[in-house]
Amino acid sequence: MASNDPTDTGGLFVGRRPGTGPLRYRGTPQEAGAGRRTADRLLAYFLLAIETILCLSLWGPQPVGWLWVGSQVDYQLDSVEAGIGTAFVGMLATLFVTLAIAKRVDHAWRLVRRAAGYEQREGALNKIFIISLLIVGTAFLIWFFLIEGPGPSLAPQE
Amino acid sequence: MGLLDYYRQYDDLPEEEYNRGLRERRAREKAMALEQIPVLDLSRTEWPDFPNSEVVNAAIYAARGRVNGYPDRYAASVRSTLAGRYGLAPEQVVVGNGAGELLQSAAHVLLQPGEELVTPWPSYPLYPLMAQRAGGRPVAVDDASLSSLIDAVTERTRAVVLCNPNDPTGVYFPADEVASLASQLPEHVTLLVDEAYIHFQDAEDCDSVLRLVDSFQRLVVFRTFSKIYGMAGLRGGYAVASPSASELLGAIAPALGVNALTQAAMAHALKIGDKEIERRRQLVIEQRRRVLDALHDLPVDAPESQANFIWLHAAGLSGADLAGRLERAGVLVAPGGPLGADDHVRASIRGAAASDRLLSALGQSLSDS
Repeated sequence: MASNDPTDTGGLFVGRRPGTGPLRYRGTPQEAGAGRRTADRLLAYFLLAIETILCLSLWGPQPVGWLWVGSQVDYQLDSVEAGIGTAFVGMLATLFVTLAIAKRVDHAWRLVRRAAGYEQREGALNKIFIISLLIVGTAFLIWFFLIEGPGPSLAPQE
Repeated sequence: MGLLDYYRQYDDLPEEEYNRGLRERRAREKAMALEQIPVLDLSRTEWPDFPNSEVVNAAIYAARGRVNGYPDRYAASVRSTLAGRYGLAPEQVVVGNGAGELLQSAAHVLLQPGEELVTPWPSYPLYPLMAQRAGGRPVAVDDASLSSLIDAVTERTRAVVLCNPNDPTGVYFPADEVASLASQLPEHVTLLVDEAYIHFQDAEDCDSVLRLVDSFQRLVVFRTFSKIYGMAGLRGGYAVASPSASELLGAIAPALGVNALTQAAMAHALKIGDKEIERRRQLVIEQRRRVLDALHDLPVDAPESQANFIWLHAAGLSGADLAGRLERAGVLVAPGGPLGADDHVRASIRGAAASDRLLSALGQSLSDS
């Protein structure tokens, strides 16, 4: 556990060091009945599904959507650079926005899981992000190497 | 409660859930530490802990001072402190390099070749040795009663040595019995009382025997800083006698005194150590009572001890056998052979954890027989 003794830092931090706030333990919550807990359990599944959809959207729909937008910019402005730039910036922007939303959904998921009676210490976003990347990445590699083959599909084969 | 407030009350974790991981890690570390239990050495009688750090600091301070010069050969500061504590004149106290050296010096002074030194037996093995080194003859009295000691005194006897409480048996001779012995000894015999373990007895006031020096001219009481003070490595002790025994005291004092570090440590220990000494004394008294009571349930005999050790005998087992069994159970004790009784062992009394292990090892060792 990080120290909050300012003398440890050679006086660099006059107050408490960042990330060393005092621990707050939870008191006894006002719990609802079994029906509410069942509803919370279902709500937790729903939130988990939203997180999964948000993560999956990062690896397919969002890039494809921004590539389409980029192509439209290229067509309208007759500028490849503007098209590529728009697609790149747009992808990054929605990536961050999506992750910010997913993080909040993940926090809500944790609270709902706890309310449902589970001991839920960590969130699920990291796992979903990595698993979705592995699944989509593997699917892409299978499509790219096995189904379409390593060469360009639109170019003449002979 | 609103919908969001209902879920916000789960924002923090309960203490038990938060710290469960830490507790599990601590339990794993503890289990790993307990896999290797070090052998517990109860064979020695000095105090197992370091002396007070301020006492050590006093010795270090002295070491950083004028050690190019000789120390005060008369240890005036320590002697005056001791004299003030016991209501004596400083001339009635001499300081030496441990009580053992002072006793050895007393034997050299008192014994001529062929003369006798009487001591109860079993007792501290130094006593017969110091008689031999002085050219005298040790006379061991197997019966520990004081009347037997008096019976063993002859025309050739020059000294009677009494370890009180006795090492290794723990038997304590109260002041009235010591006074009786001193009063019955002939003029040519000096009574040397070694009170190395006196602080551990709870039969009477610790200074009861020491106060007898004003009544008996041929009584010398020896004490040490090696046991309850935990300063065995510094070698410090003192002897107290009546004012008329100043010639004897002068003769047994070390010719060039005690080194400056030991003098500084002794003076500081006397100045600040009483509270800690009392704590150690109470710990030993409590644990000794506890161990002696628990021994009633085991097939082992032990006399009432007034020292920081007990003298154990298991029927049908030699001391070496019992010590060997206890060693296999992870506890070292002193076999009784070198201490005067082959069928006994001596086990020191320490803290509660040591008592637990000793009793557990005894139960385990004696159930095998």
